[in-house]
Amino acid sequence: MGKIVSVAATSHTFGSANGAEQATQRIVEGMAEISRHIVQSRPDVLVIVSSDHLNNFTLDAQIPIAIGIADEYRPLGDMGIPVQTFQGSRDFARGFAQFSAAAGFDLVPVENISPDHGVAFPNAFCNPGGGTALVPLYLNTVMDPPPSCARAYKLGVTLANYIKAERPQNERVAVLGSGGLSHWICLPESGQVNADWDNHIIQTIIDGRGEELATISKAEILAQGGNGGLEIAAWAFAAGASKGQKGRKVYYEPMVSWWTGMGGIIMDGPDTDS
Amino acid sequence: MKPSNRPPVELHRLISSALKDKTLVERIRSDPRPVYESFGVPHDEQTLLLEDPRNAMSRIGVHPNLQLKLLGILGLLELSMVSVEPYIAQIRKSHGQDS
Repeated sequence: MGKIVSVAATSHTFGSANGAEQATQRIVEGMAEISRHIVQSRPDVLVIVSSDHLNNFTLDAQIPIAIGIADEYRPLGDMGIPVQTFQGSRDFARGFAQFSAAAGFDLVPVENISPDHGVAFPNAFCNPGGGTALVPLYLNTVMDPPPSCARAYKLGVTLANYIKAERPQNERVAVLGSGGLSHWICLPESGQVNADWDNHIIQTIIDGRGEELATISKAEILAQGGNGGLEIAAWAFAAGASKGQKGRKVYYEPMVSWWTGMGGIIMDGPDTDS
Repeated sequence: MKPSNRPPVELHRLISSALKDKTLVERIRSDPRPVYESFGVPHDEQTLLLEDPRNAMSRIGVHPNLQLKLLGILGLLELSMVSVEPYIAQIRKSHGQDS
């Protein structure tokens, strides 16, 4: 059986440092700490969970949950992310799609995708040399209906079960939830940040109570965290993959000038040994 | 007249197509009306879009992420965008990764 050697979650956008230099630096240092944690866990496979931002998926066929099964990925290059080819893991991804089908999840396998910043930004700093196989897992919260936190949490648990039950002996897997926290996209509330809600989400997960996110409704997320706040499904996935273990907050900044709450956490287990 | 709960599917297709077609982006920037016409955007939506794209997209019910993209194409984004490349380099250097 394989094992999960690191689990983390982080926001994945960025904005101008002008007027917010110190907060920006704290975010960079937080991302660097998450990066170090993942790199030092020496993963063979890095599963990055995020929503696409309608760059690879369209509203004509609204796919809520998908998994990249390609042998390699070339980032879209949005947000200035270097366009460097990364290896994928067809074997891991297809195997997880099959395993998930038996567990009640129909993951849509996708082949020809260019990951946007949701996957490519954290991959760029957590998988710098490209030596770790990237598996993008899409919880497309831009679709309607979006994947719920309840489904995301259970899918995270399913990933942990898959790694334990079906992956090769000694395979090392890192899991990174990517997105959030509160932000309102092209709505009258744009520019607001709900720091109380953001910190509540962080605290719930790092206390080992991530399963409680399953009780948060779409309406509640939209009201408290905005339409961009739906991306906390990726954090719920990470909580599920850690199987209720505790964790710690790495950084949080209410970046009003970026129109978003920015946060990052590192979770224990379920199999971490670093 | 389209039903009020019907999303602006033609405009959605146009914006999604523009993300993969630089020529289309240039056509939208230089003379959007024929582009709207070729994608079958209803005339009432075209009129609103030509008057005030930001308010039009909100009224028409364009998906927020696609609003962001069309505003970017039209140079109307209020949120300043930056490249993360120097920050990625800083993060890598912070623990001895220069690759």
